[in-house]
Amino acid sequence: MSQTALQSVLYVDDEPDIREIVQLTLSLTKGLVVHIGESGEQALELSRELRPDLLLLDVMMPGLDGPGTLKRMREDPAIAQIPVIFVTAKAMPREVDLFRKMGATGVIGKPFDPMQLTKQVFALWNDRAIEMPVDG
Amino acid sequence: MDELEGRDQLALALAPLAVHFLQRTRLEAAVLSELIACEHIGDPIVIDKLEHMAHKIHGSGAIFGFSAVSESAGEIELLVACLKARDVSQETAIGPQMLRRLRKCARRLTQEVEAASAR
Repeated sequence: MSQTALQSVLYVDDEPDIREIVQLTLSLTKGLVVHIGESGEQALELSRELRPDLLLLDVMMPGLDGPGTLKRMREDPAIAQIPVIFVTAKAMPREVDLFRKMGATGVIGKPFDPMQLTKQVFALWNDRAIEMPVDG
Repeated sequence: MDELEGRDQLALALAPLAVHFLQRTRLEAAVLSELIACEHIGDPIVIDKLEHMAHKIHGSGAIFGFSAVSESAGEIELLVACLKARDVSQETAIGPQMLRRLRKCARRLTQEVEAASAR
């Protein structure tokens, strides 16, 4: 089974407070590099430039929103494979189902508890690794 | 680093951010009150600004653990969503009852920010 360690994350949100909280929280994990961006457009640029293992993406952003960003990523072979987790206040079961159908790896509800965030991210990352097809 | 140590470290790291949030929200609550009191409150640009500010305080407040601040901003967000949903072709002015409710919520937000800052 293919299960790789999570080494780099890109978090994109238009809210500066939340960006700062997420960066602080995830950066406490040894060996995990955390990058941040503030818009859907920046998510695409930084994903191409940094090739993070995982993209954490806000849904409601001005301009290119989360689902729009995910769609554009899936159309670009260079970044199509990067798993995306939506971080959103729209986390009712019906919405989570819809986001998964769009191709999201998972959803983290807002408001989140900073004390639990790292666990949630790693749980979704590990679930995704289990779902991955076996190589070779 | 064990889990308890990690939690302490995170709580310490988040504390200055929370203080900064309250300082900024104090100013934003004043802006929200001014926007609600202004004569252009029915203007879509003003409504969008109100919604954005209330949404931001609602979300960040909850993450920082200021639940009363978050809830009062959430009430404004809900009222503003009702304003946005109204049929502007039928109803251009905002009713006095809605204005009263918005003003009451803005006052409550200011009070909750003051109370949280004092703790």
